[in-house]
Amino acid sequence: MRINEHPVLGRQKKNIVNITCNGVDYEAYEGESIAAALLANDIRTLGYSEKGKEPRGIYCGIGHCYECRVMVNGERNVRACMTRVKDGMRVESQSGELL
Amino acid sequence: METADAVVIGGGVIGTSIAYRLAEHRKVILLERGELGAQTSGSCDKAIFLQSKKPGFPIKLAQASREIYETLEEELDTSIEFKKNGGMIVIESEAHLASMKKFVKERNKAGLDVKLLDDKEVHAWQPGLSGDILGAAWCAQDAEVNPLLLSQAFAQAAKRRGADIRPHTEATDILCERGKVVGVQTRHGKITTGTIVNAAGPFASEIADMAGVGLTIMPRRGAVLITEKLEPLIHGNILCSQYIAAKHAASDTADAPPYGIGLSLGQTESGNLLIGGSREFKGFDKSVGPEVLSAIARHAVRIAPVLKNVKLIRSMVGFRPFTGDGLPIIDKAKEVEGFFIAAGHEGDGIALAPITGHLVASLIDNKEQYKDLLKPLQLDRLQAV
Amino acid sequence: MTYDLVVIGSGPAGMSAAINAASYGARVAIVDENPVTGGKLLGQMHEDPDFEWWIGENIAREMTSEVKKLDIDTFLEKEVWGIFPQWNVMLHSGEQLQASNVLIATGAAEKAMPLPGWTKPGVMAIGAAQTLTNYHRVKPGHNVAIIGVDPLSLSVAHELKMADVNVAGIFLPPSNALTSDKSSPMQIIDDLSGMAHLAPNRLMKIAGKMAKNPVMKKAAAKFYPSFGMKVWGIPLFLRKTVLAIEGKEQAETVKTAKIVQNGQLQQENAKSINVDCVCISGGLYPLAELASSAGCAFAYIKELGGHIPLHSPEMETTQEGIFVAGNITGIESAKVAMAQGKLAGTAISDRLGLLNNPQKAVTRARKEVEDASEQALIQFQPNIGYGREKAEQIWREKADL
Repeated sequence: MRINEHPVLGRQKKNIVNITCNGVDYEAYEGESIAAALLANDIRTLGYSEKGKEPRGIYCGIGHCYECRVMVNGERNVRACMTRVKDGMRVESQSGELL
Repeated sequence: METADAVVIGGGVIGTSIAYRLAEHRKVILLERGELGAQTSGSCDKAIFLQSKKPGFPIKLAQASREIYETLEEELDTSIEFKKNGGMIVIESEAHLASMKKFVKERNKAGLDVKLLDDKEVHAWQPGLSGDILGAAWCAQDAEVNPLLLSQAFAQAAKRRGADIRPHTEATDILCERGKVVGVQTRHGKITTGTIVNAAGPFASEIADMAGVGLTIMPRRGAVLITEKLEPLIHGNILCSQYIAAKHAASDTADAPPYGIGLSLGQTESGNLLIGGSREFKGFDKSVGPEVLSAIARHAVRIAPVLKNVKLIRSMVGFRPFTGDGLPIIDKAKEVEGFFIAAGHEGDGIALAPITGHLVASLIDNKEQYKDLLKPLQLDRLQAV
Repeated sequence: MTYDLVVIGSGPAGMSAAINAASYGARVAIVDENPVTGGKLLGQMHEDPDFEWWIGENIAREMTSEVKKLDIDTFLEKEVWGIFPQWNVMLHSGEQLQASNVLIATGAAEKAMPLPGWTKPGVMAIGAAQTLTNYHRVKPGHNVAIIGVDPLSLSVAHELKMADVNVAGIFLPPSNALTSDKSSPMQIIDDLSGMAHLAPNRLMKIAGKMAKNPVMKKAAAKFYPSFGMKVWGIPLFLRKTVLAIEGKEQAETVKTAKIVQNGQLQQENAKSINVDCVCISGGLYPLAELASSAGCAFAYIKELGGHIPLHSPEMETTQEGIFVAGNITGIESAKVAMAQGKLAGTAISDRLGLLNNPQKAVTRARKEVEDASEQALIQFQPNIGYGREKAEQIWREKADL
């Protein structure tokens, strides 16, 4: 899903960091948001709604809608669209089943 | 010209409950200045507490209302997130322990199933509470409801019975002729009616004034904090014994928190915690300073340390209609025929909304059924004081 | 911590104000909940008429280095939970920033446009797709449907295309209480008029010009072909709407239907199109909760995007010392936001007694706002000028009282 060559913006050079999501290892670019890193790895479902247990992903992308809440290193309700990845970060879906 | 058999002023849990009952046999119009349930009924907690009421009439009234809740979802044909998950009043200090023992005994005598739990029992049931909690009064009959859904459910059910529910329609004057109500003026025209019910909660004095009826209901400001969604953390609803002291006792101990703070804690079906609350007389000033919000949070964390790292997402401020003796006024005005008052429920509006609809309908129809419940709610009990 | 000015929001308006005030000698802090400064600049790009690309990220980088040079304290990943008199800006992590002046430059958010299936993963606001594509350089999908026809959705469609994303089509939203405006052909013509001179298609260019004449507008609404047309090679369906987004775990198809003459739907011929991403463009509204909770007076002005805090010609709200700039005052381009930020920064510097010739500086800054607005290439809100006039008039009436 990465855009490696862009006709106007050119080429992107970024350092790679490693994160896990629900126990699986993924590569991410340093400085990007968790949501962007996971989407780059083709992951769209970030969690499940508390009430209807429906799948949820990134929606507004500006931290406003709170649809992209994930657990990061054990901390609940972190916005995937607003939080940068860090090497060794542990991301977990907040699934409705937990509740 | 537009006419109605009865006009209800106020679209909170009380007004909508009344409109629903009255609409069974009448053409009813409900006037609401803003949105339904957006004032007092939209900024409160969700608990239906029985044990927190005073023994005697207040408990009897609350029980009658609680009874209606048993079948209300079925009757209104919608979920109001009614849950019978009990309530506890936690005891923090030795001083409160003695009085809470008496509290439990009195409730048992009044027919409530209240037990005094020791600290081990409390922590087994609510692991999030502080180790300093000495015990708690536990009542299995305490329950909860979603107040936002409650106003909407009553309003929808009233509509199905033909009631005309009008949000964003402010009553600007009450029209009287020869000592009788003849109509109400709104921002969007006049309605001819012989019956008006003042269910305007903390704003009820303003409405009574329009009819030339003397009524003193004061706004008592309360702030509630709302947290992020969390896994189930709190079972049922919790009050602290300080809340009972703040609610019933005029004088407080020196270590009592400021701003009339007493804990009320519960978790919504969506997972958000509601953390109350303060009790202050500040007129209709909604601007609550950070010191009040922080004090509520501090008091809550002292009792439930599990809240320490929980994120707050917003706070809400509402005005509870205060009458002075902890009971609402449900009565007809002496000065003007056809003017009825159903306001002043303070912190018990959620608990008492279902019975209030029945009481007002019975009062207007001059029925015998609820005479015993209506008598202690008459207006002159306060004027006599 | 005490400052002369606390700026909330590090987008084009906020940074521009901070830089301006700090360059006059004010002690300034910037707060933003994002991990980087730049706000919505970071995802924006457009081609100027001279075929030069204007790239928001580059502008943000230049401004950020200016902020650093001027020793402006920058609080990132911090949320403001309240502004209390007179004035105390409270951060979620416990810091309290005291300042006689506060600038609220919180920008805008996207209006919700609910339709069946819109909560599924793969469905996102058009702005999210823009930031992902242009800033993070991650494709929001391989096959994208866009719902909502307006300057922003057309720009993003073009940007997706440049990033080698297939855009399956741009569709009208289904008509309901919340979206009725956005699904009316007449409104669409109004919306598109804001970018008529940039329009990539002759038909749109003509339609954009026609928007100014009511009779011609009606004709144009009829004239739009039911099969749609292509812009930058992307099918633009002006008589097709998306009824629902379907898919099990995530968006897999959009169910589309034709709108016939009288606005009725041709349900029986509903057609499903395969997608893996759906972008919803419901329009922007000013993000003004903080100004509201700080007690600023508001007015609803449709042409500006919604409820806006009333402000003086120098950008001060009804609360003394609280200023606003950027999209919180009405939806316009980043260049207008920057000019407004500069004006607010200048007015605040004047308040602080830092200007030698305040009259001249403020007048010049005001002129720059007007110029930026007039020269804007893209008008996100039709009739923005009328909206500004209305807001000014309400302000004057209030001031007279």
